[in-house]
Amino acid sequence: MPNLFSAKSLTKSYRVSNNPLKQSQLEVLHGVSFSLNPGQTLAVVGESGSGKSTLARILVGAESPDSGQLYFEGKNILNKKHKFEWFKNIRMIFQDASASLNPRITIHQSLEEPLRNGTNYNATQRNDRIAEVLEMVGLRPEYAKRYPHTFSGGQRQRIGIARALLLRPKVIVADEPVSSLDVSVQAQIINLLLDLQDQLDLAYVFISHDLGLVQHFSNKVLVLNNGTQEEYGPVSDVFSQPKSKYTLELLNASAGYKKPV
Amino acid sequence: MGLLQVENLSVDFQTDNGIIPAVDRAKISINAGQVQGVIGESGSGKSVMALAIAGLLSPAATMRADLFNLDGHDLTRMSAGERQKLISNNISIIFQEPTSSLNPSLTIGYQLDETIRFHSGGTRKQRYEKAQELLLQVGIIDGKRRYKEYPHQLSGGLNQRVMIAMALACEPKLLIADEPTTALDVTVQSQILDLLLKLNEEHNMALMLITHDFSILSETTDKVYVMYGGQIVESGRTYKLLSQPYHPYTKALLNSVPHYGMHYRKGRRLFNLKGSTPSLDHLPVGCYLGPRCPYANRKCVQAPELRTLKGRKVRCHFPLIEDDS
Amino acid sequence: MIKLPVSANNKAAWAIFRQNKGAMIGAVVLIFILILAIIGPWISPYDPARQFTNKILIPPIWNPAGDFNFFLGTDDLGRDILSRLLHGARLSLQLTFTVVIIAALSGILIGAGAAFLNQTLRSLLMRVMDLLLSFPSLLLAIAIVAIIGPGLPNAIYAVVIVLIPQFVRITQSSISDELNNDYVMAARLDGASSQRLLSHHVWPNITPALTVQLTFSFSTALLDIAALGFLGLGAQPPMAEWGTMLSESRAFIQFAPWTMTLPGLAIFLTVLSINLVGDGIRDALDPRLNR
Repeated sequence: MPNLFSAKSLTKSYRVSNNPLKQSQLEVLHGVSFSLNPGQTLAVVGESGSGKSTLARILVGAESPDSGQLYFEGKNILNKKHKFEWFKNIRMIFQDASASLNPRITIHQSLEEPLRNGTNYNATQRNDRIAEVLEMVGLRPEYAKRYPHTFSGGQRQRIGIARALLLRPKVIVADEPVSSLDVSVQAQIINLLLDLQDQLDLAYVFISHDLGLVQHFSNKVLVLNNGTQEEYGPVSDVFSQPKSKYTLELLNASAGYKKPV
Repeated sequence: MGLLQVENLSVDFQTDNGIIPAVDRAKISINAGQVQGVIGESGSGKSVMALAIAGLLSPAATMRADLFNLDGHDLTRMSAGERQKLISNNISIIFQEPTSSLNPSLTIGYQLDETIRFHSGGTRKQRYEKAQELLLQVGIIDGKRRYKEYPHQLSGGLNQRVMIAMALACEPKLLIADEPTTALDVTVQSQILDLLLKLNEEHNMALMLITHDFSILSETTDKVYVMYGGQIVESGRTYKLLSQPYHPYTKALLNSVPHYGMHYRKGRRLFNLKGSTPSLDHLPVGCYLGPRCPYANRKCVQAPELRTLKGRKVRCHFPLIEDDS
Repeated sequence: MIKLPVSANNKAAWAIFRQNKGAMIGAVVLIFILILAIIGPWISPYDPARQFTNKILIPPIWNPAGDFNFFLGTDDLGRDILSRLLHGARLSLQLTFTVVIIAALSGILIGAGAAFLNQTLRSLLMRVMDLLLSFPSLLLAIAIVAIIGPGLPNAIYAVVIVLIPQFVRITQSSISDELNNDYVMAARLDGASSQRLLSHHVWPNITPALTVQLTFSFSTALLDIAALGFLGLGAQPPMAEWGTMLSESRAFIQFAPWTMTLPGLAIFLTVLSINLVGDGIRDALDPRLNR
């Protein structure tokens, strides 16, 4: 039985210069591998510039890796013929929910897009599915008629989650889903994600810099530092016995501030 | 004798949609060399309060206070010019985004030199030496090289150190740090806090840390103010306040974020308040937390006053004190 | 057909626009001129080409020598100026409208295409557009007419060519800006094709910029067409076109100033009101001014 979702030695680099004669490359990901089963959460941890957002974009297909493989239910989804399955089953929640919603179209119009392309629903079925998903994330179905700017930050992130859920995916990649929210709203969103995981047996790839959240939320953790995979394993192992110096440093820094003695 | 004593500080913003109360009757007192924390979410009025104390409010804001004593002087009885001078000699402020607080087109050295010239004057050579000394104090070892560099050549952490150096140039008695580490990576965060505490100790400089993150307050501060909707809803000694919050909002702030190192059952649902932070132009009637509070009842439509309870100040009709009695 | 979204943003924009006195006056005047242009042929007293050979150069009625049969007087050939102005309004506005629509459609199409071209081709195309933009619009129009020959159709082509680069540039740059936004990536991940992305997600966000460009192009086009008419490169006599009317009456400015002032005034009022409306729309839609 293959894993639900796995990656093998993904690498990615960007061309730094626009000058076609200069071939300077910046390597942002260097050999990242992991595997994930239904109902599990993999946390990707790192500081700014560690390549964790690039990894998220690669996992949902917004960018393609230079080398490496991605498997979904045993099929190599980097292969063009599995593109549709990839798009339907692995969905993304964005960090900044307000930027990921088009300000000039209604929520309904935004939410209709994945259904148009991923299903052969007619208009009524689409409406029903949108209403159903909005209720799942704790919003009223009639909110669909409104424009994004009429919602609070927490509500917008709920809409972002609804958008990810529409196509009944099996994996959700969440790129810092709560870091732009107020502290008292973060907990609502985290609880919602946990509820949805229980209900739908979702697998999460949870990108975060907050080790408290990671410890609370995830089964496995992948520590990234400058694009390199520093550590990968079950949360309890990595956090109690970190093997790499960087992980230890990160853990110490996150354990609240301690006065130097 | 306290360094700073402020009573009933209110700040209102004049806008097209009427007057918005950004800070409502805040009471703050800081002794020389003390470290205090102000915690709140966006829109809680914590930054506006800091700006009001530092005398940096925009002209659209009006500020009132019954008492505003700084270093033994009563600021309410002074002309605006004198007040500004006294404040700028005693209080410095640093902000969240060091990179945007610095002018990107001028060198670090130029900006530092300007601050020193404005504050203490001196010849070019004296000022240069002073700048190098300040850079060394904030932990920038290769000060000679950094002096000639531009803000974009420095990392966020280094820029924040430069901001602190500029604040130190005024030899303040109180340094207000408004979310000084929020924009920085966690590993850099502790270095900046170390630095602030070291300066606090060496210069006997009082420190007011403004943040939304309890984890950096627990070991740094003596006293914490919790702000919500422009009001101080709870204040008291840090240790007691963190171990047993009296106000439901403080409890929510503490329990809604899982802190690393505390062990919970995995997947436990977090304590949370429903709804979202009210905007200051649409504050609810009565207790501002009322509509979101799990403990609220009919009495909460009346605005609670700040009252003293076991050496702590709480603005709540039903403080969580009964729980353990 | 793509429909323009009427969103809450548009309502707010209308509220800002309504507070702008200049823009509201401009809008009222413009609507008045448009109505006159539409019903002009029915309310005009005479045929614009009809010559009253015994009523040459009669001044408007407020002059003691005026004639009540000719409200705004007659020109050197005894034609009724009011009738000519009314017919001219229709002709000028019709021409302007056609020119702007053609220019806008082709400009937007080219600009949208350019946003999806590869780097090299896009740079090449945009530099050509920059080259065209670097000439003053009237000068370029004159140069084009000089090459392809005078006459109304050629003048229209010339003004269209002059207007296209502005639309290309604004479309291409707004689309490029929008493509960097998160919501575009979100829509891509929702499976939207490039075409659908453009028409349903990006388009509503660039309409404000295009609307502003459209209004200002109206005044440019109106002026350029009139100027070409005046220079004898556009509409030819005896056509009742405002610019042509100006140039025909040039010789009589000394002793029959109304023959020249009245068409001039018509051009002036129309351009002024379009520009006032354009300013109002720009202020209302500019996100930097949104509170």
